[in-house]
Amino acid sequence: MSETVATFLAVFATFSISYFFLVNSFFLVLIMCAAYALTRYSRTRPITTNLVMNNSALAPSISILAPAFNEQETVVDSVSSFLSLNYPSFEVIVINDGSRDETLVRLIKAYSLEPTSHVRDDSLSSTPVRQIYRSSLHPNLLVVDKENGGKADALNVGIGVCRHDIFCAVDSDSLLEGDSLIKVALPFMEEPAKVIASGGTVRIANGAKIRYGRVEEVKLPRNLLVTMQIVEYTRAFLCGRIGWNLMNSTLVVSGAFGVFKKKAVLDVGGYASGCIGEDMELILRLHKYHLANKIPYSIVFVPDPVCWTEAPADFTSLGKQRDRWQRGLAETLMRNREMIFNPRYRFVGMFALPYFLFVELLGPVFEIFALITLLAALQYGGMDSLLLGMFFAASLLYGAILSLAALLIEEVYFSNYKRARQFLALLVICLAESIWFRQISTYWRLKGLIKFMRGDHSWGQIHRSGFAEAPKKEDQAA
Amino acid sequence: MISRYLKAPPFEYIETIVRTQLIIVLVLALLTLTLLVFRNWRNRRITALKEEYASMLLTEIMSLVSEGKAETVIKYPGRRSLSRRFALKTVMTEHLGSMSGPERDYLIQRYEELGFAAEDLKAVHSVLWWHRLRAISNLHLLGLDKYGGVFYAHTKDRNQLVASFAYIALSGLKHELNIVRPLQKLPRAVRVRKNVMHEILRNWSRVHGHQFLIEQIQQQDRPDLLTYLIQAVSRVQSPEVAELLTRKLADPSLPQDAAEQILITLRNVGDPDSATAVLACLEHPHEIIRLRAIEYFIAIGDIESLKVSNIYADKSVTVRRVLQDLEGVA
Repeated sequence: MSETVATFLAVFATFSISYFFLVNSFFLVLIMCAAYALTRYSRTRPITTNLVMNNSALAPSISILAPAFNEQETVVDSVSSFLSLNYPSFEVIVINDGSRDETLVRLIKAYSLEPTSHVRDDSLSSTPVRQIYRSSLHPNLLVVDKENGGKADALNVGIGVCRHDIFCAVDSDSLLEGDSLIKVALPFMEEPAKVIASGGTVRIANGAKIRYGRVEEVKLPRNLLVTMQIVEYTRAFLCGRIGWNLMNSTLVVSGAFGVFKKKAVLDVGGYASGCIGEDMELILRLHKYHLANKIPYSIVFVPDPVCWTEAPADFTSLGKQRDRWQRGLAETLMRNREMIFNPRYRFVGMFALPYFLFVELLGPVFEIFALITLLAALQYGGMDSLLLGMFFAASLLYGAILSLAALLIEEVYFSNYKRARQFLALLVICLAESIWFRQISTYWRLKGLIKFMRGDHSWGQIHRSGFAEAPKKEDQAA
Repeated sequence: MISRYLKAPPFEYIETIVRTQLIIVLVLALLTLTLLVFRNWRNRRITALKEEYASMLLTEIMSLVSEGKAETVIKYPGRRSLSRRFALKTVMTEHLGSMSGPERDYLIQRYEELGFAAEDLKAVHSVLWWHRLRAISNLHLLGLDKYGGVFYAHTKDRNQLVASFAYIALSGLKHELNIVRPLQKLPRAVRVRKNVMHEILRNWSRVHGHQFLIEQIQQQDRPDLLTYLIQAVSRVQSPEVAELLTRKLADPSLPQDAAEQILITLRNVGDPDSATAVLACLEHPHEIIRLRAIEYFIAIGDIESLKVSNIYADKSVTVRRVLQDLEGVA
């Protein structure tokens, strides 16, 4: 083997290892930022939340928009959780996006829906609306039945139908905690002129004890794949987003739970129809519009209002979800590519977007490339297998440190898992995550990227089994 | 061959790095588990202690009610019994918020006898703002005029949240310093300023009567404060308030927020005498004002006034939709 090839392999191996350590170190910084932000938040928020609760009449009215496509298993529970929210004034609008299952039928039956005439704002283009229904049991529940056009299209219809200045976009397969709406809306009360969007935390409900559309007790699911996702959600979606929020660079307000000022969304033309990552795409356009026009604004991530969602429990569904997320990210970055490394868009353009490009989007490419390089170096370059083993051990342990730090944060600030045995299981999973889950996830993400380059924009159906309700006391007695 | 490159700095430290990482992983795992176990143990202990003290407190209060003189059951837990002191203080503050009459007076007396008030008075000078805030919040629960000076001093606290809470606490007292500081002095940086202001005005309404707020409305020229004041009197459903608000509504310089609040109040009062003033609001440039005016007419059952206006041809879809919805409900 020539010296040139060895040098080449060594350079690439060095690059790969350095990339890996840099990315993980940056994430460690994000977790530390999250710990700092949560310390500050946990001291003030209970007090301010109480104050707001005492004067809840001052809270702005909110329209909850829940697009539903083939959600027959979860939609009734979800709507019931939305209707029982502890919030002074809100309406719930479910948009049935041309479901082919019994979503609409079940809603009609559960909430005694009746057709109603309704004037709507059609300034945002969308597929035709078939009928609008109002519940005779809950006057603040509307169901819009429309032809299939995708989630973004359904949300645009919802914006046209809703009557309040602030709307909350939620997934109809999610459950909201009682106080989550007031907590996520708090930034709108604190800085009404400046805040244009705020998002809450999305957590996994699989395995949890659910009664009457509410999570009563958080438990770990038996499914290893779902438990793995719990660790991942805690690390990436909770700690990561809090960290970005501290730097005023929130790029993702989850489509499963986000509150927006209607006017700001209308100003940027609503959700991008046909876009897979419509939630991130909207946030990027909001950043772009406000930064380009020098309009003061704020997009906030609030850590404790929780939205519970059902995570995919099998490899096929999870693979589809991750593949779709990756395509959504690629599409969003592509649509807003002029923002990347553009000083006009400040921290978002110079830092957050390049991170999403090189770490979140191209990360799988680098990872696969690094793996190939290191294996080639081992095979042809005379690389010491012990040294390679050390690098793998270092990478595994670094991943475990990040996950454990995130779990520690979870324990200190949220204490959702009350049993030591559950927590022990999570700790073991933290160690195991880098051994197999990370690699599979990288494969799905890479697949998504390739599909995006081939022009695949399909949404992909994910299997849902519905929230398992805890047996009611009378049922138990019987 | 490659190992030669990779064993160069910084890779020569790889073994040390792995060893250190392993230690960090173990420490983090142990720390997390220890925290979990400790928290569970502490929660169980505090819950048990709170139950114990709650029952003792109930015994004391029951004897006060039945015999006119309380039998003292609770003893000072001692300086070193942190958990006991915490549990007892929590139980007492929880009860202070929910009790009234002689039971509350007795509870305040016991709170002071057990030294908790003295503890709070010491804590208001703490360097940690959340300790100062907790202490002010506890003293506020006692509602004693003698602490007015402490609250007044802390309205100038360097922490905006503490200052705001001191202001709220002061506004609930019949203390001479209560209305000395004008509303304008309330810290601007407090994010929940609106709620703080609302709380203060609610206290003022309780302490000084709503007449005081009416006077303030007549004198006030700052738009934001005017809106808060209108919100505060909106709960008082008297003809005097309705008349004042109707008069204010005709004022062309009235800010939008204040106008909206007036319309909400008039809708709640349902006074048909304000109809003439509200009719003009159907032509208001702001959509929300037109919506509130519609709600007022629907509330008083005067659909005719809406029909003679141009509101059915309003340019706003939202206005037309709400009109349709409300008509349907009416």
